[in-house]
Amino acid sequence: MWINYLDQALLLAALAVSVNLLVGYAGQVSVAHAAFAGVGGYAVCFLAGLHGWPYLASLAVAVLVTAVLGVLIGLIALGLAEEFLILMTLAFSLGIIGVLATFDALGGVTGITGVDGLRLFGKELDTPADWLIPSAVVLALVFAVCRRIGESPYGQVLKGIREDAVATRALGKNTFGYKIGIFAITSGLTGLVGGLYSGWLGQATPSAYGFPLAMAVFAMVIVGGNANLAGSIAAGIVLTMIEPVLRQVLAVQSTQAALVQVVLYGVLLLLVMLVRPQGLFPERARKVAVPAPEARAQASPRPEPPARTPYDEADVVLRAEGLSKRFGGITAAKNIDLELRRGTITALVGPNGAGKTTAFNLLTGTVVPDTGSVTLNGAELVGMRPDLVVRAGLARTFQDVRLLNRLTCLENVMLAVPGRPGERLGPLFTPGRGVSRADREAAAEAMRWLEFVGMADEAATPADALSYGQAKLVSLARALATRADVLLLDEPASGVDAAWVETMLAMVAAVRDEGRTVCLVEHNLDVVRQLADHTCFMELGEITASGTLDELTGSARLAEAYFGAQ
Amino acid sequence: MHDLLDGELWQLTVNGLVRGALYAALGAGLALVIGVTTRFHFAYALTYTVAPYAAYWAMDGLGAPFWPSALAGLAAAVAVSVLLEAGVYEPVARRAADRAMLAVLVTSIGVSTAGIALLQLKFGTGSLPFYGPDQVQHRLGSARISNFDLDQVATCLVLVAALAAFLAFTPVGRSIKAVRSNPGLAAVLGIGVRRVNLVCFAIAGLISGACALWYGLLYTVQPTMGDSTVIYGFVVAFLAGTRSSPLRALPVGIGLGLLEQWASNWLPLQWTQTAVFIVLTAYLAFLAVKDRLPRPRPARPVPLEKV
Amino acid sequence: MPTPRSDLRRPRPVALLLATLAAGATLTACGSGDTGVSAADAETQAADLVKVLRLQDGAALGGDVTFKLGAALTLSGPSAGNGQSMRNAVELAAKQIKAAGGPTIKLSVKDIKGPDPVAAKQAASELASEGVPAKITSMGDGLGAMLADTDKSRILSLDGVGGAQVFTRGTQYFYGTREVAPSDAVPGALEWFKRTHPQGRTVGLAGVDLGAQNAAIKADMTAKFAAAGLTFNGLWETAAPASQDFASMLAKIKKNQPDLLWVAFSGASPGAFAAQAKAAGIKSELVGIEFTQEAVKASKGVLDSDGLKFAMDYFDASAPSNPLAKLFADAYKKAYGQPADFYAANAYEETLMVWDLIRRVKAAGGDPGDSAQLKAALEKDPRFASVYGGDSATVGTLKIDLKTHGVASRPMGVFEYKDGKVKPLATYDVGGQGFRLAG
Repeated sequence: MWINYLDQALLLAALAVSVNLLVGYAGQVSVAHAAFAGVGGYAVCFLAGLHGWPYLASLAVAVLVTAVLGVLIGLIALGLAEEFLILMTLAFSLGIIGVLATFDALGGVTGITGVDGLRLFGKELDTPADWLIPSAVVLALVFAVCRRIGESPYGQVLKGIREDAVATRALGKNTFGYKIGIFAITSGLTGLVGGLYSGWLGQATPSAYGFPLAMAVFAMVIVGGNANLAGSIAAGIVLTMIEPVLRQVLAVQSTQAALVQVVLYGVLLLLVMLVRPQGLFPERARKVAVPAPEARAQASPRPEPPARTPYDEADVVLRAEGLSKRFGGITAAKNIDLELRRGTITALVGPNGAGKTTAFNLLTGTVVPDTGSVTLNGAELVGMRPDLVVRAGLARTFQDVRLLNRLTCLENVMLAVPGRPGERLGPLFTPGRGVSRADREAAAEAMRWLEFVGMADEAATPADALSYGQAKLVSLARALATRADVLLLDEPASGVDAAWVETMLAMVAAVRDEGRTVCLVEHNLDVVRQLADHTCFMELGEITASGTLDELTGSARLAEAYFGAQ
Repeated sequence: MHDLLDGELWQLTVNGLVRGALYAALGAGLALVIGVTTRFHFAYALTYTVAPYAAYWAMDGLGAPFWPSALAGLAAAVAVSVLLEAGVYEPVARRAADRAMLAVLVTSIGVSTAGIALLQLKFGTGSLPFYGPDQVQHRLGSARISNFDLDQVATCLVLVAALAAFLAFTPVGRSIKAVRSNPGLAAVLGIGVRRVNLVCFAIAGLISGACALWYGLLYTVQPTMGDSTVIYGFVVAFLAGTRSSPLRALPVGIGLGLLEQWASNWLPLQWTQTAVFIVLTAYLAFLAVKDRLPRPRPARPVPLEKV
Repeated sequence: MPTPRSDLRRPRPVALLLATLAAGATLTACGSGDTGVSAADAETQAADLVKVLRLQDGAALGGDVTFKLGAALTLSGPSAGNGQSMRNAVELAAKQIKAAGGPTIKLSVKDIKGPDPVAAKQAASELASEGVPAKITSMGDGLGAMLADTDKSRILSLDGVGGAQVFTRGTQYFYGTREVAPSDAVPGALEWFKRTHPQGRTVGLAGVDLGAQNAAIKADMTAKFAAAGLTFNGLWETAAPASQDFASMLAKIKKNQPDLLWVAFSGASPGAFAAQAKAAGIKSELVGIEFTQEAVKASKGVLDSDGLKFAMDYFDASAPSNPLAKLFADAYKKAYGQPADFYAANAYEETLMVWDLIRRVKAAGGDPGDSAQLKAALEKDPRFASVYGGDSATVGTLKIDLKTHGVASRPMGVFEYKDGKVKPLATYDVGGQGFRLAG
C-alpha cells in the first residue's frame, strides 16, 4: 500500500515542481496544468494502451502535444492580469477536460481504463514497486530541469517578470518570449508526468485530472513554498501521504472517516497558511560570490573624464522626428522632434502632464507612435520591440524606480547585463562550464556598476529593503549595466533625500563623462541647471522651445507658463 | 412571439432566462467580493450550500414553518460568509502579504470542501427532502414555467437592482466603491476597509443564500450543489467586470444562461458545459490579444498640423 | 513587503491545531461503531442463521479460519449512501457468521469515492498488498478501473451493485451477483408495458452517461426494444452521473416524447428526474432501473404523490420473500434503525456466499485463503443461498452463470413506489422468463 502511495507522491511532487517553476518563479498562475497532465495521460493511454505504441514513443507525443498547448495558453496569457489568468486557465482546463470526456474514442466520461502491461526499456511495469523507479527518475528529471532553469539567469529573468514585467522588458528582455517559453516548458513537463501518472494508474479519466488535482498541486506549491523546488517535493510527499496516514489513524470502524478526513485536511491547510504563510521552505536569494573590494577597486570602469566636446559639435546619436500619439481624443504627443548628442545631457522640462514621460515611452517603443520616426545611430527604432530597442542601445529608468523587489541589488543589476548565455535554453542544457563562467563575469560586471554608484555594500540586500534614494542609485546602475549608449532618466533626483541629490548628480555627470548620452526628465531646475547641456521645454505634448536653460528661463512666455510657478 | 420558435427552443429560452437570472445574481455577489476585497472566494460554494441546509434543519429539526426557516437559511449563509472573511481570508491574506491571492484561493477551496464535508457528517451525503410552498405550473405558450421559477427570477433581479442602488445611494455603498477603486486611499480617508470587506461578504452571503434556496426548491438540495454554480458565478463576475456596476451582471448572466440552454438544442448535452468554457476561453483570449491586434491605419501617416 | 515575524502569534495556531485535532477525534468517535448489531442479538440471529441455512455443526463451519475479506465501496461522494448500506450489511453478516461458529472475518474496507478512478486504483492496490483472497465490490469494480487489478491480484470479487456489465466480461475473478441493470430487466418490463398499455408504441431513454460503454448498452437496449415489437423513437439522452438538474434534458425529451421512457439513473437522481419531469409536463410512462429512499427524498414528495415505476431485482424489506430474507431484514432494521435496501441485501448475501465458499474449501481440505480454490469451488457448484426468491419455508437460490459471470436467474419485476409503499406490478426472471402480472 505504501509503495503505491509513494509512486503517487513522487509523481504529484514532480507535477508540483513544474507548476512551481511557472507559478513561483515566473509568477504565472495556471490552473490548467492539471488538465495538461491529463492530456499527457490520455495521449499515453490512447497510443500505448489502445493502439499498441511503445510507451516511450507515446510519452514523447504526450510531451510534444502538451508543449504545443502550453504555447497556445501562453499566447493567451500574455495580456492578462493575474485574476483573469486564473479564470482563463480554469476555463481552459475545464474546456480540455470537457472535450476529453466527450469523445467516445477516448472513452467519454469513464475515460480509458485497464491500460496494462506497459514496458519501458524492456522491463514490464506491473506492480507498484515497478513504477517506483520510473516515478523517481521522472521526478529527478523534472527537478533537474526546473532547477537548472529556475536557478539560472533564465530563472532570474522569470523572477523579473514575476516582480515587474514592464521593468524587466525595459532591461532588454523579451518578456513575451520568456512567458511563452516557460508555459511551453512547464506544460511539456506536466505532460510527461501525466503520461507516467496515467501509466501508473492504468487509466486516463476526466475525473482523475479535474479541478481537485489542480488544487492539490497548488496546495503543494503554496505549502512547500513559492520558488522553492525542494519545498514542492517535500510538500508533494507530505500532502499525498496525509490521506493514507489519516486513514490509518481513523481506521477505527468509523462510518464517517472519509468525511472527517476531508475536514481535517482543510483545517491543516488553513493552519499552514496561518502559521507559515511563506511555505515550509521559503524562497532563497541566489548566492553569487561578491568579488573582494580590492578586486573591485581595480576593475572600476570609471575612466578619466575625457576632454568634453562642446554641445554643438557633438554627433547626434538619437534623432526623433515628428513623433505623435493620440489616445482616444487626447493628444499625448504632438510632432516631437528631438536630438540627443553624444556625451551630452539633454533635459526635458515642462509642467505636469506635458507629455515628458510619454515622450520616453515613444522613444523606447513602449508606446508605438502614430506617426514619426526615431533613429539611433541611423537605425530606425519605431516598430521595434521595446526589448530590442534596449539592446540596440537605448535604455531608460522609471520615475517610480521599479526595482525587482524580491531580488537582491546584485541580481537586479545582473539582470541588465546583456548577452548572458544562461538566459537561453540552448547553452543552459549544453554540458560545460560556459554558463557559470559567464554568470560569474556578469556578476563581476554588475558589481562594478554597483561600485560605480556606490552601492556595492548593499549587493546582497533585497531591493525592497532599500531606501528610496538607494533604490534610485541601483536603478541607475541597472540602466548602465545594459551597456546602452543612450540613457533616458526619468526624474533621477525627485523624491530623493537631499543628502542623496548631490550623489545622484555626480553620478549622472559621471555617466556623461563616460561618453554616454543622457536625456533626463526633471522638475528641479537646479538639477537641470547643474547638469544639462541642452534643455527642451514641453507643454501639451509638444516641444515648444529648446536651448540652454538660461535662454529658456529668459523667455517671458515660458517663464510665465512654467518657470514662473517655481 | 413564441409561435415563431419551435416548442423546445422556446422552453430552452425560458429555462435560459430563469437560469441566467440566477447566474447574474450569483455573479454580481461574487464580483462585489472580488472587486472590493480581491479574495478569490471559492467558498462561495459553501455559503450557497449552507443556506438550504440550515433552512432544512430549521424546518425538520425545529419544526419551524417554511418562511422563517428560509430566513434562518439566509442568516446562516450571511453568517458563514462573514465568518469566512473575518476568520479565514483576512488572517490568511495578512500573513501571506503579496501572495495573498493564491494563498486565499487555495485556503478557500480547502475550507469550502471541509465545510461541505461537515454538512455531510451532520445531514448525510444524499439529497435533502427540502420543500416548502406548493409548486404551481404556468403555461407560457408551449413552454412551462413554475411559480418558483418566477419567484426566483424576481428575487434575483431585485437583489441585483438593490445592490446597485445600495452602492450608488447609501454612504456604506459609497465607501465600498471607494475601497474598490483604491483601498489604500480609502484607508487614508478614514474608511474602515475591514468593515467594508465584511459588508461585502455579508451581501455576497445573502445573495448566494437566496439563490440557493430557490434553486433548492426548484431542483434538489445536495452537498455538491455549489460546485458548478460557483464556477458560473466566477465566469459572470469576471465577464461583467469585478469593478463595474452589478447591473452589468444581468446581461452577462442571462447571456450565459441562454448560451448554455440553447447549446443543448444543437449539441449533445455533454457538450453544453464544455461549450460554455470554450466560449469563455475564446473571449478571454480575445481580451488578451485585443490590444495587440493590428488595427487598420491609414496607409500614409497623416502628419498632425501644428496648432 | 516582507512579512513581519511576530512570535506573539505562535501559541494561538498551535492551540487551534490541538483544538481541531480534538474536534476531529470527537467526530471520529461519534462516527464510529456505536451503531450495529449487539453481541446478544448476533448470537440469536446466528442460531437462526444456522437453522435457516441448514448447516451442520462442527469444523465444517470454518470456525478456525481467519479470513481477510476486502470491500471496495463508495463511502464518500454522490453514491456514499450505497456504500454505507453495503458496509453495514457486510459488518452485520460478519458478526452473525462469527457468532454462528463460522470464520473470523477481518474486514478491510476501502473507499472508492464516487467511484473515483484514482481512489479505486489505490483501493485495488491496497487490497492486493493486503493479500485479501476475496472482496465485496461495487459499481462494475469502480466502473472498470479496478478490473485489471482484480485479475492480476486474483481477488475473487462479487459485485452486487453493477452486476456483470458488458465491460466486466472476461475478468476471470469478477462475478456480478445481481441482474445486469437494466439489460436483464428490460424484456420483462417491456412485456409488462405492452400488456398494460396496449396503445403504447415508442420507447426512449434518459440515463447516466457511461462513456465508452454507452454504445454497447444502446445497441443491447434497442435490440430488446425491437424484439418486443416496440419502436425506439431515437430519444437517447445521457447526463453526468449524479446530476440532479435535468432542465435542458427535459426540453429535449419534451420535443420527442416516447410512450415509455426508461429513466436509467441511480441513487437520488430518479427522484429528482421524476419531480422535474412532472413539472415539465412529460406525459410518458416512466420506468426507472432502481429505487432507493434517496430518490424519495430528492423527489420532494412527487414519488409519494405520483409514484415511480421501476424494473429491477428489488429487495422489499417490508415483505421478505424467504426465511433468510426475513432474518436479514429484521436484523438490519434492528441494528441500524432503517429498512435494508437492495444494496445492503446484495452485500449481505455476498458475504454469506463467501462463507459458503470457505466452508466448501475447508470441507475439501483446501486453503480458504487461496482465491483460486475459492473460485474453483464456485465453479464446481455456482448456487448459493439468496435473500431473493424462495418462499416462506425455502431460502432462495442465487445461481451464477459461469459464462457471463452474471446471474443465471434472479427474481425481479416491475414495481411501483407510492405513498411510502412498494408493490409489485409484474414479476419475472432474467430476460422476461416466467412473466406474470401481479395480482
